[in-house]
Amino acid sequence: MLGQAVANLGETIPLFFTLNNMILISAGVLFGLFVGAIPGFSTSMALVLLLPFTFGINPINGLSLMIGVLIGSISGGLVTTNILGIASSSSSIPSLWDGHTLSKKGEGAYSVGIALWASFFGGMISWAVLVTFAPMIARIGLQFGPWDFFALMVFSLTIAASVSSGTMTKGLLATGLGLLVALVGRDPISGVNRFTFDIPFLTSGFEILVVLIGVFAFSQRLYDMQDRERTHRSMGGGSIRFEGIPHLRAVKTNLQNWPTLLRSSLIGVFIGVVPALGGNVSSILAYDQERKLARPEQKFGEGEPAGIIAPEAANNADAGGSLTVLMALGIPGDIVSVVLLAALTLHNVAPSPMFITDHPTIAYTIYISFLVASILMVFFQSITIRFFLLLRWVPDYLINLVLFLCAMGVFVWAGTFDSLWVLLLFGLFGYAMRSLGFPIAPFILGAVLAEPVEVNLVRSLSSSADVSLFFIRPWAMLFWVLTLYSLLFPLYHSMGRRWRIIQSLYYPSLGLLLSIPLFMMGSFGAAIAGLLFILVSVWGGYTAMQRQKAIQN
Amino acid sequence: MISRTRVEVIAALVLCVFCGIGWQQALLIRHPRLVEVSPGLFPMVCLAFVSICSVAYLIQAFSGTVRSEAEEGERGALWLLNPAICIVLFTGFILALPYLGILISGTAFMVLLFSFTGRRDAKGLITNFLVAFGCSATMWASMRWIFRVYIPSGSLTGF
Repeated sequence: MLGQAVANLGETIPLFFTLNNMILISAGVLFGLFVGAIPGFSTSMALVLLLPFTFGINPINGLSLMIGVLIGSISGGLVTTNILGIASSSSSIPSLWDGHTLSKKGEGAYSVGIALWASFFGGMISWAVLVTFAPMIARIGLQFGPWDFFALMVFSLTIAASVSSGTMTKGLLATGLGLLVALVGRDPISGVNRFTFDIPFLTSGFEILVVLIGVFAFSQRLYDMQDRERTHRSMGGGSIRFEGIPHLRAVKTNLQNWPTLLRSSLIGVFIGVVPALGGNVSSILAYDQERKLARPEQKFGEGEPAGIIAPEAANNADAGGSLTVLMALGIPGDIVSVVLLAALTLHNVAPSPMFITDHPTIAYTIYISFLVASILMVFFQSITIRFFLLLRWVPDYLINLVLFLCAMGVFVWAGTFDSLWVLLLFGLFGYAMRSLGFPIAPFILGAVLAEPVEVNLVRSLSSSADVSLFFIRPWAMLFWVLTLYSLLFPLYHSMGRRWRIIQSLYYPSLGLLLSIPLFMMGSFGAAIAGLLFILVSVWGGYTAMQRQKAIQN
Repeated sequence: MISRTRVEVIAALVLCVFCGIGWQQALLIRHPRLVEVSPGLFPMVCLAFVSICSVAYLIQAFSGTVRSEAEEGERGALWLLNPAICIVLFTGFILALPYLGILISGTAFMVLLFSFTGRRDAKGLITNFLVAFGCSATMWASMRWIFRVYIPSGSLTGF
């Protein structure tokens, strides 16, 4: 296994470290840092806009560019967050609480340094997880049949709906609408027209990329420009004195807080693995966790270094987690992964458990790009920091040029004027969704996963008429249990005092039910995992009941 | 001004109508003789799912129990002004594109959009023009010479 990895690495390195590719990855990191520093310009938006332009270049260059943008944009916001006190995205908000406070005490450069190196170390820890676990999970994925894949995808869709913002009904509706939009056009298996209304234009269906740009980027801008006061605002004024980043001091602080760094990175990776949860959840969760574990001398909210390290490390580690699932199983965990999935599909590479084995050069390009981009991010962030501070003068309304970039991206990709009308249609649709409080992520996941879900459903039904196989195969059963519990999650979350005993049994019962398919798998490792689930569940259930009794008494 | 609850009810009703149209189309999907699993099966499963959710949403909207993460509060028509202007301008941009080409129609679209949604004084207009032209020209040049993508010339301008 190690020999194969070394051979793959040896094959990829000469293709990766070319002048052309290094220019592209550097440009990607710089562009990412630039857009990351602008509030209202998210990582996903940058990737969505860039995607059509990677069509004409080879997959190694295209993926290097996109990973560069991904890593750059995640960290791009730390300058505006720490120095100006303006969160460029929701995931940067926890960094404000301590980062900007430290900055106000005259330690702006130190605060940026801590955040910068926490981002780097968080990225490195998630990179290690990606390189180690993606091939391992992929090997598990090789045991999956179409029934198991179907159940896994249904689980991804339901969890996306249940954990997204808004009500559960709206999340599920968004998922269903995403599935339906992707079904318009000719059926890929039988060639029969579906939902075309006998309109020739609809026969080829909606290009997923155009739908993605419309619903995600175009509608976001339409939504943001509603606030007429905000469109005239820029990030701030006045002169800012900024000395160079004290790198050694910042690295030392990060290493002194290594438990925080490790815990937060692992939280980030875990959140990245769960579909539809994103960087904002991981950074808030990591910050909250560290605050709870704080020593008495640590004053969170008053410029505590651990309060800067936790959200930044978790935020960057999140990317590695979602990439692990994407590379191992071909399931996109968040919108960023959806765009990367689209990028791979663009180059005729379909992520699946066979992805790393069948396309080692592409897989190793992702690994190396992640590592190189993280190093370049530290370098470029250090030298361009003064330039990015100038971005505070850019008024919000100038960001409306995103709409033109959306149009150009779609035009480059589809090459027809009709595609621009589709962009406008889905832009309006996304705007309506946002205005009504419908979550966007489940819609996009639905649209992207519709085809693989249907293909696996048809494969399952074609290979056996026995419908029970959807439920009695161990992996399928495991995913159905998770699906059921993800659907019950909002109910569990909103239960009042009267139902507290039932509420306390949510996780123990989940553990017990999960142990059944694990025992059915027949392997020693799975049986041990099943036994552990039972022990933890019984212990968890017992302590929860004891706690309830104590409260009642 | 329409109340939030009424907007939710209208949205739920639109979804129910959409489902009705969807069912009408789903029932028209042919089942070729040689294909084992009907091509209409999965669309019908999805439609059934969306229909159930739409009815649930309608009930919630009527009872006023639907919660939303969207910014609450009553907002006047002014709140929709910028998006409405943008949509009109974008429609104009698409219509003008075959005649004026990307460079001119793109610049015009952005200058008008920036001016309607942002600063309109002399200094602002110059900034708007420079940003719009810079962005449009960069895209036009990169598509033509870097990405080598086919871009149709404007029939009136020739580029």
